[in-house]
Amino acid sequence: MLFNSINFAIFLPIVFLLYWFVTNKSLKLQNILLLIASYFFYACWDWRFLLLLIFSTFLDYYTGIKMCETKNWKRFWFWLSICVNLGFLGIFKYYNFFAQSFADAISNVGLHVNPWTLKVILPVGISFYTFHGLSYVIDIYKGRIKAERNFIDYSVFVSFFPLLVAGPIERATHLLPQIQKRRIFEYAKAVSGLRQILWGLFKKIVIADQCAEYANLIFNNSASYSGSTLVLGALAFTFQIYGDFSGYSDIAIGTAKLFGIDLLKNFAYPYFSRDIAEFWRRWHISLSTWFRDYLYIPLGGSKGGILMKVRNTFIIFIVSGFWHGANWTFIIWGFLNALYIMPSIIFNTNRNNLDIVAQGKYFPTIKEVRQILVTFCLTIFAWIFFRANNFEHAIRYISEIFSRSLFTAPYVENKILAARTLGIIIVFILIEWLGREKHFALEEFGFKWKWPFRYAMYYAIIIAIIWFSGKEQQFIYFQF
Amino acid sequence: MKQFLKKILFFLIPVTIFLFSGLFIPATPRASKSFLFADTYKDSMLKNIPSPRMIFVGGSNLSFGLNSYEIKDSLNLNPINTGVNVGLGLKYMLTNTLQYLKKGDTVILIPEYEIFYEAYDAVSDELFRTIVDVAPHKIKDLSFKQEISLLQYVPKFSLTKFDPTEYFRFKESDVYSVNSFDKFGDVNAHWNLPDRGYTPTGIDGKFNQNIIAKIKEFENAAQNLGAVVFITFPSLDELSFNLSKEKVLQTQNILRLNKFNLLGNAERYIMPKEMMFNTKYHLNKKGVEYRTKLLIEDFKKARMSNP
Repeated sequence: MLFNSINFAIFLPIVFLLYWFVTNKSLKLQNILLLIASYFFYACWDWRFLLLLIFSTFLDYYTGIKMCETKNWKRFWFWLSICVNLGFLGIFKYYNFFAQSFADAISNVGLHVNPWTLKVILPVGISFYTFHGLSYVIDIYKGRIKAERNFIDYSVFVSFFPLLVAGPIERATHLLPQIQKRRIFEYAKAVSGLRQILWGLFKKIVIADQCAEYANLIFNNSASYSGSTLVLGALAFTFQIYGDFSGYSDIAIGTAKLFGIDLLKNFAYPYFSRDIAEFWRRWHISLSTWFRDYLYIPLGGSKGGILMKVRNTFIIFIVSGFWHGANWTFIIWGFLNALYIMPSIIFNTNRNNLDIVAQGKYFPTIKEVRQILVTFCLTIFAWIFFRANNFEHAIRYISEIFSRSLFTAPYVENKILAARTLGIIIVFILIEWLGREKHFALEEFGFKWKWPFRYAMYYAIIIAIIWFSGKEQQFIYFQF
Repeated sequence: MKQFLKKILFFLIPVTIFLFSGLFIPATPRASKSFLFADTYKDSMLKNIPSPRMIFVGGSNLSFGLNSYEIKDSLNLNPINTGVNVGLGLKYMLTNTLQYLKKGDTVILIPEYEIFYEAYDAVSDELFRTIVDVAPHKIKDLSFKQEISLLQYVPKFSLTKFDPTEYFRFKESDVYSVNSFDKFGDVNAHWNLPDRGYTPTGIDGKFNQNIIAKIKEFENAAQNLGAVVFITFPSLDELSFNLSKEKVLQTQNILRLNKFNLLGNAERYIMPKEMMFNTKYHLNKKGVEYRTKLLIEDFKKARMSNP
């Protein structure tokens, strides 16, 4: 069940009404309803993997309690949970990659083997709910939290349907206390949720899906296009992936608000970043902070001198790339980002831009514009590896960009359509720029307008969403 | 909470009325030129063309893939190419054809491979537009599930009714127009146009056994009316075949196992890239001639072995 589907448009109001009219008097009932709704939501993808989700939830729940109960066996239960969780992830997501890579590697020395690969499909959301479970177990092991004794509450923490398939990756310290408390309807929160859902749908359907058409066409036929057209393809993918994933996150966060629950922020206008370090503080924040807290800091973080810092930075970026998928392109994408960030790590300038660009002003300074453009171009370049089918494809793509054909006019099949898409992207960037100090661009946009104008704006957004809607397009991050 | 719901209703009622109002506005001038309107002509062919008839049933692999003149000359049968668009779905195609069948008719069923991998009563924008703009009376042929599922297309459809470019200064498509079809129902408007290129694609989804049961039902019903049904394979470009080989061969095997009257085999209808016009199923003139030749050969062979 996709967020941008008619099924979800029916599912959400039903759950919402039941939640606030039938189960609103009891915390237990609220959580039972959320759990049933979440399992139903997940089963709509593939009911067989629901069993895997329940097993994984039970394992972390049980090992969490055991870790609190027994001091002597604490380490055993901890490692059991870690190994089983990572084991599932390894089998479903990475086994074929390692088997194939091993076969390719030994074929280089003249030995040929047929790797035994698994014909399994990746359970949707496995990378996300596994990380929920891992953070919970690690937090208990480190003594930051106590184990949750109520299985329903814990299950809702892992499986809450807005975040189940593609995050934001939540922390027990943030989400569990909200689940343990009866939610009371808050008008302002619900309205804010609806606005965020609307903006998320706009980003997904109007921006990402339109850009996807160009990006797919150009990346899938890259050998036939000039360097200038390939630049357009990379640019289209840059907006596609932002609209797609941040749009998904907005819908997820907005949906959670309708149920009185606040989720972690996942995006903060990353394309207005002035350097790569700032970009990574603003892109997929819940994953970046997860890696920071559960990998970078345990590895020693930045405490052990410059070499340690460099090593740890490379490790988290490469692991982060690998988290996205079992493909060398993701690893190189991670490695490239680590290279980008290296100067600021070495010269200790990675925390230079902690504020919001041009805060309180309409326009940035020339220096800021230059910084934003440089960061944006570096990001586009890295996205080529992320989007390419394989390493060779990425190299061919980049080679063509840096050829003479870069200076030819790009090929655009339908100029009117392309101009329309460009116009929409410009409007989108403007709205995002104006809203960059808020949690999401539409949070207070038009808030002070008289209601007919405000409603007109909402209607215009709805009409744009309907106008550009076509076949339900999968969200990119569902494959991770 | 009540205030919240009241405000939502207050907000949604005007937009809902607006988005459903398009259902009551007749087809726009641009939509009236759409290839979907060929459905009316194809129905009149099914109704009026005399026996002996050879009726082709499928999607656009047929409209962009047959030379019915050649078939008429070679087989001495009156061809009727009912192919419009795969989006109409198998249920629509079979139900519509069945009501016009006569004794002695030969039905050649050529569904696109995707049909075997989706629901029998799948819906699409094309089906919705056909039902609303072209043939509203055919709504009775749809299942309840289809009727409900089609509601998703209402908002976007309605918006087109308020789009000025639907009424003024629109350009009729050179190949996807109601005027692109000849008297047998083949599209030949593109025969003298250069190829337009396409992106080869694979086939998603799981094989739907229910489709086989529904084709069996159709076959039995046709036989009861005195018609005979053959099934054959759509012309598919070789690159897309490579992407979907397993599913194409699976489809062929299942059709064989179910003992349908098959004409030729799937590999025979795999077409080289230079015979394709603008999608993995649409042939250019050279492709149309070649595919028609194969089809005639296969049919003659089948007629000889089972006169």
